[in-house]
Amino acid sequence: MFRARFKRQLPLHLMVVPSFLLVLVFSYGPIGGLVIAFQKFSIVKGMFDSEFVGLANFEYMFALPDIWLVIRNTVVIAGMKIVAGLAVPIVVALLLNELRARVFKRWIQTLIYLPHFLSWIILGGILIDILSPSGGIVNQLLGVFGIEPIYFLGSTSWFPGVVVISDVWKEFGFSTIVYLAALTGINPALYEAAVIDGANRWKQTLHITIPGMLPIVVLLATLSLGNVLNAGFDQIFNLYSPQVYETGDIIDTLVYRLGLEQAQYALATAVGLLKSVVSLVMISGSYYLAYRYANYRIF
Amino acid sequence: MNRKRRNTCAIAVIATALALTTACSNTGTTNNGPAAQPPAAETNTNSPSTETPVIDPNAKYDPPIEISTVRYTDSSFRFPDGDSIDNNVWTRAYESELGIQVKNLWVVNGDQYNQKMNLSIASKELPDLFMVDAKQFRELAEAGQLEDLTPLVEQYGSELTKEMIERGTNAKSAATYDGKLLAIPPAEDYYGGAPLLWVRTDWLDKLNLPEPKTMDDLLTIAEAFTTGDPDGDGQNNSYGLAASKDLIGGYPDLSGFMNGYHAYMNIWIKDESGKLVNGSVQPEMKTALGKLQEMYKSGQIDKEFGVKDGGKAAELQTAGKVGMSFGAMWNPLWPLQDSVTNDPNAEWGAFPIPSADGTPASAQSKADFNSFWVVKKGAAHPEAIIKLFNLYNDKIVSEQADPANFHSKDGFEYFKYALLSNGFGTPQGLLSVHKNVIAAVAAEDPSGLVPEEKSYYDNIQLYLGGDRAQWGTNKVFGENGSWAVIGANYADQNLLKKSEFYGAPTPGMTEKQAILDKLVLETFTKIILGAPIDSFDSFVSDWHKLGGEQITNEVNEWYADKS
Repeated sequence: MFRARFKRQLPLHLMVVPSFLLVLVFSYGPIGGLVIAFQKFSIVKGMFDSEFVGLANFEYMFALPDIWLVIRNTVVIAGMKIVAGLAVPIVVALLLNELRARVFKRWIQTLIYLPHFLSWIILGGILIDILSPSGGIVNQLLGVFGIEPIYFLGSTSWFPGVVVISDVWKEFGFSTIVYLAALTGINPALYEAAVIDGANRWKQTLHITIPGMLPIVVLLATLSLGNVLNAGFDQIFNLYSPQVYETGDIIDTLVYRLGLEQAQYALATAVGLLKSVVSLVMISGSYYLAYRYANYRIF
Repeated sequence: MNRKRRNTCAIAVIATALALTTACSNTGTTNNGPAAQPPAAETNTNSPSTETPVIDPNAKYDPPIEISTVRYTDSSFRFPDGDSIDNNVWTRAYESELGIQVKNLWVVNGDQYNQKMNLSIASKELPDLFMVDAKQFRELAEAGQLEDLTPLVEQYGSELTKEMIERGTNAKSAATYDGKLLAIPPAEDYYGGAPLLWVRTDWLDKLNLPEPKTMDDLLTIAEAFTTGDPDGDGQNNSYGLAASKDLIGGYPDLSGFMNGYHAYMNIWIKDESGKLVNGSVQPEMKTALGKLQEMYKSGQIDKEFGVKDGGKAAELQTAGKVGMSFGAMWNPLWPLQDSVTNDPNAEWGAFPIPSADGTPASAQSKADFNSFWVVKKGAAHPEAIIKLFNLYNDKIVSEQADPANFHSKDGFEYFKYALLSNGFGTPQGLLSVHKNVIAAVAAEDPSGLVPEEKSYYDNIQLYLGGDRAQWGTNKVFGENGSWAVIGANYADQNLLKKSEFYGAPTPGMTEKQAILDKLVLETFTKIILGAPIDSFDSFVSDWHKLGGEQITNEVNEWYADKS
């Protein structure tokens, strides 16, 4: 019985082998390199001969003068991104789903999807221009309503908001597609039945569409909680400046300046490990909660 | 490639069935017969006539030896058809003139070189000859993995090589560890990064202003450029001085402004007691920042400079909205050339740093020694590096230099292919180029110029003939240009403040420099944007507390050890 099934599936197993090997070599192999997080790493000595220093790299990191400020910035920005990054695409997907003109729907879908392909190095330059208080289009528009020009990228109170909004603007089209795909998976018979029962559009959305897409929402929410310490290095690195360090400097930018510019690889590894551990805890925790209260399982 | 050659050889051998192995002998592995014929000896300057086997520094290796190395290229590396980093004028010269076959173990893009080098070091797969940065150099030196070049330079170095190695005392000292020369010292260039003052001279004429001789002049000019409508569009939309969020750097470089007040940002200077101190935390800096704050407040500096990098700042300046900037000698090529191209009336003048008091101001400059060519300990032919450097100097620097074949021609920059090419340049740097070009322009006789100089000469002639697209070259090398100002002030009057520290980063720097850099940049920016000027005092004590004191001590220890 088992042998027969294995024999039948053998070609499939063989097909998995190369990717399995690749994962082993490139994803599991390098985990061993994490050992340098506990070393006083010297490139000449390498990871086998460098001296072990226990948790000294972590202690050093938490002794940095600005570390708590930086952690706060990271969590605030990442948290806002997680919430907005979930809410906006869901709403947009629901609205797009109600559009009758298919051509129009496709157009919108493509247009909001486009910014996803621009890199932050390009968007950084564009944002500096359009958000400029002296000639930027955003402030000119605000001027029409009699609002004084706002120095978006130079003000410590505005900076995190700008980062979150611009990130959502860039990425929401991409996530919207995922939700739209989930919507197409809902059985049309349910809607027909609801119409017969006298449900209007709103009731249909509330009782069929939203419950129908809930699994994918829970999945993406669970996964995104792992990003609680990822506030988006390439975005912030291209937008921040010394005057907004106070609310804009995040763990990744700090580690970039400390770990890479000063070649402190052990420290950079220690921070990376710490972030991974936090991600693991957050994802496991939220998965457990999703399983417990929403009866949702991925595996 | 290798296999291809072997195959061709094999076919040739079978087909002709002759033992004429000359075609194969260049692989260097078989040297049974034909190696007996010595190749025509190269010019032996010191002919060995004595009986004892003396070392002939110019002798060609016979049979040829193989040296392994590693290289990088980038988009600026262009090769004539059929050539590559593995096979080009330089590698052919190494083989034909020195009998050295260079084998590149790996070639990567320039921005990956350091990382790849780290990997090679960590995996202990060092080539015979390679280039490292300051930190790698120190680690390798401490671990005793580098060959001592001191005796080799003595035995094999040509006169010119010795001169090139001696030409920068600081560079040589940076390449020395424990009294031994472990690397070919990099070029030492303090002039190229020193700030100059750039002023829209057509605006000066328009507003009847004098040239800036003192900082007071500069402040007056900055105010007039801001309020006097120098661009004549009837709007109050121009600025006196350019700035960017990095504050200092090649362009725009506020360190030039600070130097006018004898303040020196981020470099190590000697105080009255002879100890090294960091310029950023000296009281003079407070004065300079106070002046910048006043200028910002009165709108003489772009309100948004704090979010703009150099490229963004340049957009404003080339659009004709900024009348002054501090920056390095290459500023005429970028960004000022764009300003001149955009506006037929625009003209920029180069000036030395004005002074706020009676003492002439010195321009600050820091040489980062960050590329060292070294030889792996235990390499079979450590002296090859000296021979290669001899050849390099012979082809590029000496009287018999052959720039058309080895420097550059038709847009191909051959010199980039060469090993040790960071030894590039003459002791005087581009200053001598400027002097030669100026003399040739005056005499209208370019016959004595090397091709590099000739190309500048040609561009200057085009500019003098009315081609404003060549304005930049003229402003760098020509009359009243960057190098004229550098020569007359920074060189001849010694008005250059060199950073006294040029070693590898100290342990304290590795750990804390990033924190201090952030503190300095954040505080300075905030003060310029209007924070109370007295916050400078608490900044100074913070700086010392957060590691500045430790680094200062380490820098002084390094200084004491060095001398």
